[in-house]
Amino acid sequence: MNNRAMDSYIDEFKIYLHQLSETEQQDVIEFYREYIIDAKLSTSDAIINELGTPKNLARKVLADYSIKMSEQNYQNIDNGHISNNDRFKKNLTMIGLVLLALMASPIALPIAFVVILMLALIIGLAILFVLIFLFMVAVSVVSGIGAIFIGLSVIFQSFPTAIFYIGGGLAVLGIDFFLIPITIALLKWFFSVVVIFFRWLGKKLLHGRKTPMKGEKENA
Amino acid sequence: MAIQVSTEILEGSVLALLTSEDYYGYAITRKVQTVFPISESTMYPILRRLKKEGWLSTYDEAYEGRNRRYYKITDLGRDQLDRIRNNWQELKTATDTILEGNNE
Repeated sequence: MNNRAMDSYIDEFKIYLHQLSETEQQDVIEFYREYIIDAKLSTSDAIINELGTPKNLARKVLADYSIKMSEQNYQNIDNGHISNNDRFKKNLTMIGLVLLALMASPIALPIAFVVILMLALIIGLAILFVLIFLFMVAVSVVSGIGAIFIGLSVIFQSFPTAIFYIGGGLAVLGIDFFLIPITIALLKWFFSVVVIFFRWLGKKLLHGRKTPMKGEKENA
Repeated sequence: MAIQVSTEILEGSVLALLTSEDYYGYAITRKVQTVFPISESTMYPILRRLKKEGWLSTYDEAYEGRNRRYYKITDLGRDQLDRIRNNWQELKTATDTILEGNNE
């Protein structure tokens, strides 16, 4: 069947789906190609009237992928089948997909801009925080060990000074042992807040601005 | 229909539809649209999910010089349909009880 309108619609549609794997792309494209032929939509207007613009349709497909993916994450966590690393990767992909879906949505352009700016800011701050913290830990570990050595070296000259340095060094090292897990927990919490935010955003994108439903269109 | 139809109900509707015969994508969309006011882009995610869960399978058949993808309900899909039917009965009874107030 020679359908130029369909080919150009599908071509444009495909551009927006590049984030999906090749098989997923083929699957969704085949579905809509078939749909357009079966629905006998032969002009661009007819296709857009039925399915929305390629951008819009892609936005829905992408949003659906991201949300389904994160729901599945949670199920898998419950079953204990998924490693933290996998979950992290999947959440990152989910955030990427929601961002893409946001970019593909014409009305949300200012929002997309703000969100991307916010994300850049948040990631920047997180990296800064981690770097400062690592630096502090390194410095305090070195100075803690140093203090213990100083203490040991003066142990025969002045016992109180030795005790003071060794005690101080041990205390600093002890605090480091507490601080590391606390910071890791804080970072995890921070990431989960970001994930929840993006899941919410994805749901908003999917359900908030749907194209008119069949019934509504006929009533209008 | 003012109340939004849940995904589970739509999934159940598709599974129920496929118990009588195998359908292709466009036909499923149209059949479901005769009952629920869903948009054209709703059906693909539902079919994808049903297939991923193993509740339906697909096969291609030549039609007018091209392939048509048919959807077929699996045994797992029939089990799932039973579950959805039971859940729906429960919800229906509960909703009737509280909305109609005939809870004596």
